[in-house]
Amino acid sequence: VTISARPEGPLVQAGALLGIGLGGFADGIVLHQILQWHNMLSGKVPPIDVISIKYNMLWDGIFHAFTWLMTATGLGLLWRAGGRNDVPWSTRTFLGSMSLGWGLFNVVEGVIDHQILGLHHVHPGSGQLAWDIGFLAFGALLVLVGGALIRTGRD
Amino acid sequence: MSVLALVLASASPAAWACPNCDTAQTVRAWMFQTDFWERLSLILLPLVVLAAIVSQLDRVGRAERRERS
Repeated sequence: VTISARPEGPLVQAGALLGIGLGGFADGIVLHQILQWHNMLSGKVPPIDVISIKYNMLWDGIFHAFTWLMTATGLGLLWRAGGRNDVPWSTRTFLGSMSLGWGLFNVVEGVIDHQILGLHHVHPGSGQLAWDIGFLAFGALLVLVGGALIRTGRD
Repeated sequence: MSVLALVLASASPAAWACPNCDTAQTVRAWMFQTDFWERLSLILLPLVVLAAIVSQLDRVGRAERRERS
């Protein structure tokens, strides 16, 4: 019997989930907390006083609790992939997958939350579209770099 | 002296009451009484889409054909 398999798959899945989770943390730490931009519901409830800032902070926390779950799941998948002899253990594939995951996070979050739902913008106010496009472009770049690393990791 | 003032200030009701202060109560009430489930589902939508994409990533990689007897 002839069977086909894609041996990098489990490592790519684990790395992508870790990239999504760590990308979400980078977003939360840098954009939400340090710069005080990009708050979760700021398109609906602008953070202009203590109550609205705390309200946004609470929703930020809920979102990041779920990105923590993505990270923990990615760690579990990585542990499982590491125990399999048929999964090639490649640094390039793993780093590429994490880059892919972070890029996907930016692209999907950017398209859905910024462009479709209007829940928030990266930097609300004048020029918000430019910031949103920059966020998407950075995500697309990470996806391309990740894809290239995954491809070279097979060689 | 300033250390003593800091210790006394941290022990005052105003300092420890904040987790349940007026603003915190207002925010929690607002959150759970106003469209909580709708907002939660909107916020989680990108993560659901991402999970769906990741579930397809096991197809990434070189297709390898193996013989199994």
